[in-house]
Amino acid sequence: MKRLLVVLWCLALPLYAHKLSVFAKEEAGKVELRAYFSKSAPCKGCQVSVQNVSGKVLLQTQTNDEGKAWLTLPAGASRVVVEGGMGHQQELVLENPVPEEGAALPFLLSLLGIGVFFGLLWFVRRPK
Amino acid sequence: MHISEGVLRPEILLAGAAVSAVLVGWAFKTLRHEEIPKTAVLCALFFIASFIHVPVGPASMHLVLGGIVGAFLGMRVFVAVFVGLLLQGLLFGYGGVSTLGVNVFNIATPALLGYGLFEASKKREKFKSLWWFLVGFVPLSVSASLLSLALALNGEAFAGVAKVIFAAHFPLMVVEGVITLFALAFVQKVSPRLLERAS
Repeated sequence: MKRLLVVLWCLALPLYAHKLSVFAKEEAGKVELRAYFSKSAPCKGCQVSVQNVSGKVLLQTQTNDEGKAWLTLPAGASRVVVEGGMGHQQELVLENPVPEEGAALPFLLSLLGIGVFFGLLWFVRRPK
Repeated sequence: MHISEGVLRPEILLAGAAVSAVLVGWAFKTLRHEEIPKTAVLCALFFIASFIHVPVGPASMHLVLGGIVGAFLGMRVFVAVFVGLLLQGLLFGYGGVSTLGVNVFNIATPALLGYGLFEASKKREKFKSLWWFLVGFVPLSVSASLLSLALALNGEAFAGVAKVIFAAHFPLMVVEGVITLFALAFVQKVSPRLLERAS
């Protein structure tokens, strides 16, 4: 029985080795990404894509020989997907998604709204 | 700092809405004509502050600046916070309309403490900077406590989240304290008239 377990465990090892892991460090919109299957097997030349909320690809690049890639997140970026080939895919959801470019408009509208609201209030409340 | 829609139980939402409606209504009713421009400017400041994210550990938090808005506006802080949060809820999905009452209460009521602390600081010569630091620090810590309390009241499942939220806000309290200290020192230097007693 023990021997069987050892054999099963050995069979399972390559599976572990093939699990794609992705680590990313984000700083001020720049991401340093490292993808690997195991300690000694970086995910070389793997396809990395940055997608927005609806899954549209905004940016594509490849990892280098050490399994690393550097990205500058475009507007609307919400997740990073790394493809290791043979069906291995890993995706990272960004904790701080980059707002879509359109976000400036509601922002300006809001400030305008504040101005108009208080302007009207000022007009209505003026002393008679 | 904003509680999103669909998180809190209806009892808490209703209680928050009722209390805030009275306070905001009263603040609007007694808002004087000459106070309106100042209220508008601080409302805009409060609104913009929410877009400035301060990284805290793995996540990031945004400024609230309740203390400084309270110090300038006194009771009118309810008007500024209400309008700011309403626009954020409607246009950006921060918070929401159903949680507006609870969020206004959580942010604006502690801001009154900022006003109280600021008024108290005027009578003192010593440790003025420390008082001004507290004008920013205390309201945010009370806001974070109220936020955690609202989540804890919501049910056992939220108790853990409530603790994490409070702990995560601690660095932000210090940041806001420092910002408030420098902002008040600056205004004191260039335009002390603005710091005259609000109502």
